[in-house]
Amino acid sequence: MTGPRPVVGTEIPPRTIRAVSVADIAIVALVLQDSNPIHWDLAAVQAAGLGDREVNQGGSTLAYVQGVLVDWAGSRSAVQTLTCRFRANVVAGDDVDVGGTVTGVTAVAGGVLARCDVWARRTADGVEALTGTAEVLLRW
Amino acid sequence: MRISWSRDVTPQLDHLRGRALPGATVRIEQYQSAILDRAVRAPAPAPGEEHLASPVWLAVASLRGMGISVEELCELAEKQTVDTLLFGGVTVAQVGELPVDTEYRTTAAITDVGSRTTRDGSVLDSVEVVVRLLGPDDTERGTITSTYLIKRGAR
Repeated sequence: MTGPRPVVGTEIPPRTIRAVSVADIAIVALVLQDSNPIHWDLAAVQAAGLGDREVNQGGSTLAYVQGVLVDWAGSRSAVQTLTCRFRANVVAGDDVDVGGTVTGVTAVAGGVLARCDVWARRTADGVEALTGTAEVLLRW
Repeated sequence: MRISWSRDVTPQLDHLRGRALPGATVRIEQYQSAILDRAVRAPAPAPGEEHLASPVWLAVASLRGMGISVEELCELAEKQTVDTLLFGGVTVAQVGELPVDTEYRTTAAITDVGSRTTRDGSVLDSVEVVVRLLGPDDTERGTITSTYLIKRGAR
């Protein structure tokens, strides 16, 4: 990592995921081997009372958060722990804002371990789809 | 007539606590890694990490690595059609790199079960599943703790 060392209150560079697509939801269902039809069958979505658009996987929202943390830390192995609660659905067509804030910093060999609050919110209404905490290893 | 929900007829899940699940093998193919990266908008790997998969594969392992499907897990939890499965939360702990074109082994177990009554009076049962992902050398690469919630409907 080459940026300034984080301190409590440092904002992790946010990112907006634009227009979650039906095709992406289907790909993730295949990789996860997730047979739940709310991800690909609009009739099932409607029957479940979940509206009229395909429901994104919670694992994808989790991945958006992982992506922001990995991008910040500069390594795919930097996110040591990530604990999340899924609070609301993201559906096809949604934009999702993703970000976080540093809540603690501990010096470790070769860098620091940053504790962070993280979140993913639907852009349109600001509803939190995911909230959680993470520990990210930042090396210098 | 409104059917009232009675705790007396709800499934008792205590016997599931500690139950080992079959586990599985999860192979991360390079092309699958690349396609999934696009689907979840993962950032491009940093220089020198082109051979590593995104940590999203730990979430993949949490499902594929149980060795049973979510539907089968629901059967163990005696989910009925009137019940609703919810995904409560997850803790992903990564302790090692995830090279692509590599086969991983998982171990899995139901580590806890619980039950509580929500403010609206419905019963929410929980089933905690821990999946450990091991590399070809049997070193641990990550642990995923997932909590599945089953909101019990009227019986």
